[in-house]
Amino acid sequence: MTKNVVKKEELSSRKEFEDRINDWVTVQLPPDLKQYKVKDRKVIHDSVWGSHVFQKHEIAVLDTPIIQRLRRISQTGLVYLTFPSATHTRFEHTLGVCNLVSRFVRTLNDRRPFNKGIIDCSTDKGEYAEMKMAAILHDCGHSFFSHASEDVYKWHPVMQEFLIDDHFAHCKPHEIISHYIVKSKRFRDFFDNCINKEYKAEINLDVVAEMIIGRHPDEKKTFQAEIINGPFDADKLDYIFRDSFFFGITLTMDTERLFYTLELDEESFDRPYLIVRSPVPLEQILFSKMMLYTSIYHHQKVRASESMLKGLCEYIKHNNLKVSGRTLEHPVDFLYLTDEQVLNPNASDDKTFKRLVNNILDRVLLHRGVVICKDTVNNFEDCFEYKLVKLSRSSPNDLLKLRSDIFYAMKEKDCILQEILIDIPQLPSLREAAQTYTSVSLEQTPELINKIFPVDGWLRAYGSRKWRGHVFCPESMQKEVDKAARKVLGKMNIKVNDRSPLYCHMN
Amino acid sequence: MSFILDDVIGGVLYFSKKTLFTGDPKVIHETFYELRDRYPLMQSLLAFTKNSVYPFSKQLEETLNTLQICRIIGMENPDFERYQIKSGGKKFIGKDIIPLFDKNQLKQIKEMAKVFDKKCGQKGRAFQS
Repeated sequence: MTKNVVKKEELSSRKEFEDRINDWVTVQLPPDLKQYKVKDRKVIHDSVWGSHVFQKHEIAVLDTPIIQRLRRISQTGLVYLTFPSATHTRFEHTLGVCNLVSRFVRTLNDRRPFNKGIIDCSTDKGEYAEMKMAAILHDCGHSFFSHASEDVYKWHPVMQEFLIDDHFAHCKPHEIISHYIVKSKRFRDFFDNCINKEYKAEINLDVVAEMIIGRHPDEKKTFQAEIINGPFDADKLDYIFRDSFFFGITLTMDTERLFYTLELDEESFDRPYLIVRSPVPLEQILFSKMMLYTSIYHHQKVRASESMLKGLCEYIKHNNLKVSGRTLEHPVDFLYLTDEQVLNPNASDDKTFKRLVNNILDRVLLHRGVVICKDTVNNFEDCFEYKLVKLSRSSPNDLLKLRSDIFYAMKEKDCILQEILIDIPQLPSLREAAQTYTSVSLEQTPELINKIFPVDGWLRAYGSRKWRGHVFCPESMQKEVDKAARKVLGKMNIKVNDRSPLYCHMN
Repeated sequence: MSFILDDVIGGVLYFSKKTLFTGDPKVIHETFYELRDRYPLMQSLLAFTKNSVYPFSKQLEETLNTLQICRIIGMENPDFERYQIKSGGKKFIGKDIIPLFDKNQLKQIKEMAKVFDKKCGQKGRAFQS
């Protein structure tokens, strides 16, 4: 038998999860919600991809509080504290994905004889309409600071259950939440009455919900879902392009060539499969993704600021605080909060909460107390990284114990435990190389990218050479943390040497 | 501390009689997909998507990345076609990971190692110490 008989306890926690999502959707879309009727299509201009036409029913969904709240969620978390122009939001990204989905569909249909397109292009019903709706809704499950908060709630038992369910096998936690938002009773009622009926659309929300997690009820149409959530999807193309644009990083990505060489192969596999006839644009995209990780997402100040947000969430949870009236006990609790509601010193009366929030707002960032890498650990041949990586991959409680040991080993403590944070980065997923087919000529059978050129091996080696773990702390505590962490890590047979303070820029 | 997927895969590599194994993700993922279905130890640790042309597991990919960061396995430069289980890595696994498992779990891991060797193992000389 293949995967997982869902156990009784799992069923009841999923039911509770679905009920909570339905409650949240009801708050966002109350039955008496007044929506003005959209009279005409609209053109929305985007700084990255240019103008795009949205249909009336699409504008009606974009105008809902569920999507408008994405304007108040930063696309790249707290990266803007290090790269100040990274102020783009999930809303622009959503519009960009819609634009790219349209481009994917046009490209595929243009390859076919006139009037015999691959994808039915009616704008208010059928395949294309469902794909556009999935693009609009694909990120509705994000909460404050995007992946920064996702890294906190992903550890909740209900999310951990989903992540080992084959149906959600390659999904991120926010995608699972988006999926359940679309499937919720309240959203269906709203969509049936206020969208499908009002605008005479015929969009099947079951298909939309499945596309958000990269699936399609009709297996032969899985390629359509892969344009939304697949190895080289519209989501990825947009965020790589958009993020590099707003970070000010120049990356080479020939999207024109990518679309020029995109095809649907209906013969080589057991179902229609998207392939790209030239490996060059795919290699560029993978290199660009790797560059973004090493230059931006794994930058030590970016990691420090995201660690501070995690420390803040931990403080809120451990002290049973309410932030803007909400606790952070369950993943769905995070949905109620957007960036400005969390980073609001008046969101709670607690003095330490105010101090932690003001530190982020005023960019009083944590510093490196210890840097852990091959150069700063004496016994690197003992695979020391494994113990630390394991702690970060098993559960936050295991890292919490190590942090507590370091904290209580400090002789002077001018901070709280939630300001001593351990960051153990993981390498980015490079599944694109292992799951995307390409070929160098029409006659050649398509092969996986990494068979033609093992991009993932090169990139993984590059990433592991640059791997750094950190213990972050307030600047005034750097020397104390260095001493205490060396003692505690020494007991784990991780012998930090005198190059670590140099890496930390300690005097 | 209890074990996680990285420990189980580390155990499989420890009991493997080969030093080299394929870098082809299709072969690796298909092998562990079969092992997941046959051995209870794996069932709560791995999920596979079957949307792709072969079953693919995000958790397995992360584990291979982790084992590479930690230098338990390495890939041969410049071809990057094969992984090597490093001798230092095996020593570490034997000392720090194998004691986490009980008798029954070790039995499953040893059986999985045999299947792994048959499907993924490769002949050849070690390329890194």
